[in-house]
Formats: sequence, structure tokens, C-alpha cells
Amino acid sequence: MSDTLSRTLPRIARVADLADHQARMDQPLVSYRQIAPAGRSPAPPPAFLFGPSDPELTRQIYGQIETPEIGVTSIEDAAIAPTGVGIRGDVAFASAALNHPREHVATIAARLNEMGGGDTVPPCRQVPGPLVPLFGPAEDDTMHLLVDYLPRLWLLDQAGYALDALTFLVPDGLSPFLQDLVAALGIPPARLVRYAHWAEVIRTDLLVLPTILRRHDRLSPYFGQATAFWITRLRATLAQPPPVPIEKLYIATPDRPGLPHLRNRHRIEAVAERRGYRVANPEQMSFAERAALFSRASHIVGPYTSMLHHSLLASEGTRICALRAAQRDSGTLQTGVAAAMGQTVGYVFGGLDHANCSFNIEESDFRRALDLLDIDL
Amino acid sequence: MIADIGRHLALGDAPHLAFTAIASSGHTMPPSPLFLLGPTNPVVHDELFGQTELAEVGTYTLTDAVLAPSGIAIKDGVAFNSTAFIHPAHHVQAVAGRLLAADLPVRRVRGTLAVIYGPGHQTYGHWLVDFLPRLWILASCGHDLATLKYAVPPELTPATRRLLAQLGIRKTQLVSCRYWREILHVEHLLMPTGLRALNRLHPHFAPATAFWTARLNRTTSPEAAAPTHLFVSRAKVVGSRILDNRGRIEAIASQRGFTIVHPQTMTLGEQAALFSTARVIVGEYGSGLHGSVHAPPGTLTIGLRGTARHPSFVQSGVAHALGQHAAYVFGATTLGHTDGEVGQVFTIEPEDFERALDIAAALEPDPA
Repeated sequence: MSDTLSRTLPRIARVADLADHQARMDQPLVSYRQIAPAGRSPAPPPAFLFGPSDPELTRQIYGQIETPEIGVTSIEDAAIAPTGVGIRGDVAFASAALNHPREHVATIAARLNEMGGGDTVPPCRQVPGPLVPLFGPAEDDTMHLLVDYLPRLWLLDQAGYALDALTFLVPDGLSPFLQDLVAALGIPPARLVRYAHWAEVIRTDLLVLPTILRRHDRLSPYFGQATAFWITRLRATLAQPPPVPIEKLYIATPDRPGLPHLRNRHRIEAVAERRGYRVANPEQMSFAERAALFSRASHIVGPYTSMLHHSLLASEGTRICALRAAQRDSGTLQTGVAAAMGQTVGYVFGGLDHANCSFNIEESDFRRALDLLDIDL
Repeated sequence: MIADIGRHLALGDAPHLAFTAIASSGHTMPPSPLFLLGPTNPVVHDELFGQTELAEVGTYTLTDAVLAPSGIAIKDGVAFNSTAFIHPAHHVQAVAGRLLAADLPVRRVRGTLAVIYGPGHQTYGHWLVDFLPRLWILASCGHDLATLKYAVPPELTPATRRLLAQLGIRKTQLVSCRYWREILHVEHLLMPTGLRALNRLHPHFAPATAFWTARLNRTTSPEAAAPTHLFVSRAKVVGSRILDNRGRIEAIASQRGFTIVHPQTMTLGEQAALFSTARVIVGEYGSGLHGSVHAPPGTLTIGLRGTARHPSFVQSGVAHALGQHAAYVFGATTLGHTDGEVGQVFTIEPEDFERALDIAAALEPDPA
């Protein structure tokens, strides 16, 4: 792969919405291949809700009806800013469909402009295309990784790109966890271009930008198919067998600053253990270990965090229960994730104590939820 | 003595009591509503998601038994309670106690008498959900509906009489018991179970409903011609539940293309015709919504209600059994309008109602 140093990039003059830009017929160097149109459908309903709730929360769970359009944009003679933001000429592109909101792109553009001393941005490195940013903002966040970025491999395949011939752009400081994951997806190091954020800008003759398959908490109807695509690659590389539902898992994760924590977690974990659940914390595991753990799950229970989204590595029919504060906070994506994989999810809410940023799950509600998870089996 | 009829039978020392089973009881995960909007609470969640039991379905047969008010069976001094007949123990206890004190004359009824009604027979919804499906149970147990006699309460409304007539039950087949002035001593008493356990309906509710609705002579509704979007109004119902901003909500529904209907002013045949073309049914929770039994699979019924347990969520069971969808919009509620939580005044937020209609629209296939 021959990277060459190129001229510097002009100062970024404006941030434009990519969809608007595409709609303008006088920009032939930007093209778009739609894989599926946007749609409207009722959100998949959770199997159960227990505990307190409020109108905002129910609206969040049930009120989102728009599913995203999905497709792949390609831009000729483009530059790429950190987090995969596309630039052409002096225009940086924002797009909710790419998980590049306008404010994020504006921040990136401003910082690049500052680094260039006012007239130019940092030096460019030319990389032959087609070049695909593998990740986007917050690639270390499990939700974005599992829900937004990995399913994009399927979009590329659907758009006619041969994955084994593509070059993927990744941050220079890619974590060992993600390095292992990328390898497990069958992408060899030779196909990766490492990009030193803020020290350089990458230019390419063809930048390829797949959309994400999420709009707020709603997922594209193709999310299940897209997820199965990368999981199949992963299992093939890792030589892992298909999932077998034989174990009940209670996913315990460390408390996160700023997010409500489960105040009576020890009591709840004890109840779960008595009901045959194994308490596991996958946060320190490699992705391969996580895949092995969740592929054994028949039941997945625990506080609502993105760790629960690993349920997509479990069997169809897996039953899930998320424990969370009765407030609109971390979203209800788990409902869509589970529905896409043919799984069942319910929620137990606990009243939020704002002073202590914590919530308490009533044991009776929790037991009732566990009863439901065991029914019809 | 008061005894649960199922347990009494299981004891094995009741030769005059038999049960013909059609389906056994069981536990399944309750159906999930398509959506909930507005303020919900733990009580509502328990009602919607906590009921796992399905009813046992079949017919009890008692020989030489007494039939007491509200359709309670008594044999050899034992009054039977059962959730299968909506005869809870406390109700049976009260009736039995009053009978003991009254020492009423006995009227003998020869042949076979079927009891398809029970408490709540004054409420139209109970006929649709609890009582009429029992005709299918009787037929499935091998009984000839055309020759059976049917016990009816003394205050049977003219509308219910017409309803039974439309189903082919002749006036000469009805045996009325004069409550508290007599008791009936019946040669063979048939007690078909219902198909409901609280909010859950047995899957056999579908064939049972199809059985009796197929007997109806459907007539065109005078109110509207084949509307697909119905708003079932309770504006003409004298009820204990009051939607505070009914006018505003009905105006929104009308603007969104819903036909405002008042089923209680229509014959059963007209109702059957009206609901048979419905794809979305919206309205204040009540018997009128249960007209969805005439609607096709896939129909969505949205109940507008307060946040109390009453009037329960049977619509979820109806919808699930018939392959339809149920959903609810809750409104802030003031209780105690009349007695307990029965009397309610609630307010539906127009924003929640509009969103519910948006979701309903999203359920329908894109015309493009």
C-alpha cells in the first residue's frame, strides 16, 4: 500500500449536511447508493415492564416510529478528518446517518482550522481508495461499536464492495481490544491504514462512508441481517461454534460516573444467583471471550448498560431483562437489538434517587421478571 | 359449605359432578401491548404483564343440583365457587348465606339446563367476552344448542334477549329464575366455563368467538359505511368513568379521519357489520371497544383510560386471542368520583393521543 504525502488541505470554510449536498445535482463527485429507504413502523414492544415509570419513559420506549434510510456514500478526491468526517474541497460533511452530527463536525473543523494556523489544516497523506473509516465517534463505546459500526460491513457488502479488497482507516491509537476484534473480523493488519488524529489529514481518491443502521433508538429492519453478517465472519475466524443456550447470565458491570447505579445490587445479584444465574463481568474480557460467554446464554439479566447489547451474540429466543432507573437516560436500544435477533426483552424500573444518582429495584418486581423469563420454556 | 368446584371434583367423592375438558389450564407469558403512552405505574404494569395463567376450559355437569341467583350451582349443601364462572368465593358465600336465611320455595326443572351467564351480565362486554363464547364450549362438549334450555337472570335486558334471539336461541329455550323468590332444582345442570382468567383469554377464545359471530345476521350500520378507522365514543354512556377532555380528543380523532360511533345505539348485527371493516379502533376503555371481536386479525384497538387497575385490561386478552393488537393511552386520573376506584375522572394529553394515532398509522402498510 503506497501512501504519499500530499499538499495541505485548504481551511474548512463550512459544514454542510451530506444529504443536502448529495441532492444537489452539481456535485457529481459525491454519489450515494441506497440500500433501503427510511420507514415508519411501531417500535417493537418490550415483553414486560415492572416498577415505576413516567410519560417520558413510555414515550421513549414506544413512541419512536421512524426507522433510518441506509446506504453507502462515496466521495471522490476527499479528505478524512478525525472520527471519519468526510471533507471535500473546503466543505466538511455532517450527517446524522453517519453518526456525524453537525455540532461534532463543526468542532472537528474548528480544531483543524486552528491547528493549521489559520490558512491551512495539518498536512495531508494520500491513500489510494476505496478507503473506508471502519469506526466513527466513540468507537470505544460498546453501544456504538456493536450497534453502529460493525453492522456497516454488511452495508459495504450490499453496496457491492469486496470486503477483502477494501482498505480501512482506523485511529492510530486503536486499543488492543479493538485490534483483536478487527483481526477476528477477518481484516488483516495489511488492510488497515492507521491515522494519527490531529497530526495529519488523510486524502483519498475514493472515500466510502456507509451509514449507520440506527435512528435514535430505532434500528433498520436490516439490522439483524447486518449483525448476522459480521458475527458469521467473527465466528469463522475464531473457529467458534454457533451459540447454544445453556446458561443464565447476570451481567454485572462496574458503576459508571454520572450514570445512576443500582443501589441494592448485592441483594439483586444474590436473588439472581439463587435462581441459577452466573454473575459475570465481561468488561475486562476480550471480544472473543465475550462472544464465547454470550453464545452460551439462554437468559441475560442485569443493569441496563451497553454490555447487554452483547445479547446479539446469543441465540435466537434468548430472554433478557434490563434493570434501570425510571428516567429517560441511556435509551431503550436493547429492545430493538433483541427484536432484531429474535430475542425477548423486558424491563424492571427502579425509582431514581437524584441526590445519590442511584436507583433501587424492588426485589418483588425482580423476582416476577425472573418468573416470566422462565415461563413457556 | 363453599367449595371450589374444580378442587371438589378432584377429591373424587362427588359422583354427581363431572367435567368434560376441552383444554387444560396453563401458564404463558402475557401478550405485550403494542404501546403504552402517558403516565403508567406499577399497578398498571402488574395488570398488563404479571398475569400468566390461562383458564381450564370445559363443562361441568351436575345431576339434581340447585341453581341459585347469579348462576351459582349448589349440590348436597355445597355451593360452588370458581373463577371459571366468575363466581369468587366471597360472592358465593354472600349468596349462600342469604339463601339459608330465606328458605325459598323450590321449582323443579326437568331435563338439561345450561348456565351461560354469571355476575356482570348487565354489562354488554361480559356477554361478548365471558358468556357468548360458552356456546362454543357447550357445542364442543357435544351438546345440541338447539334443544338445550338456558338459564337467564330475571332482569335480562331486552337488548340481551334480542342478542340471544339473533344467535338462534328461542324464547321457549329460556328459563328465568326469580331471584330471592325461588330457587331452581335442575335435573341436569350444565356449567360451561368461561375462557378468561382475569385479563388473559384462552387461545380457544378465537374459535369460540368465531362460532357465535358466524350466527349473526350482519346488517349495515346506519351510522357509517364501511369505515376502517373508528372512534368508539362513550359520550352517550352514563358511566362511572369520565374522560375530562372528551370533546377535544374526539375532535382530534375526527380530524385524523376517524368515524365517531356509538355502538350502544346499534343492534348487534349493525355492530358486527360496523366493526368487521375496522383496522384501527380507538376509544375510552369500555365494552364498546370489545366490538373488536367482529374485526379482522391485525386490527389495532387503542384504549384510553385512567391509571387505576379498574376497568382492567381484558382488551389485551381479546386482541391477543384474535390475532389483533391492543394499546393504551393513559391519562392523569382522579379517583373517588363514585365508589372506590370505579369512579374516575381522567384527562388524556392531546400530545399522547396524537402520538398514538401516529403509531397506528405507522402500523399500516405504506400505500406506496
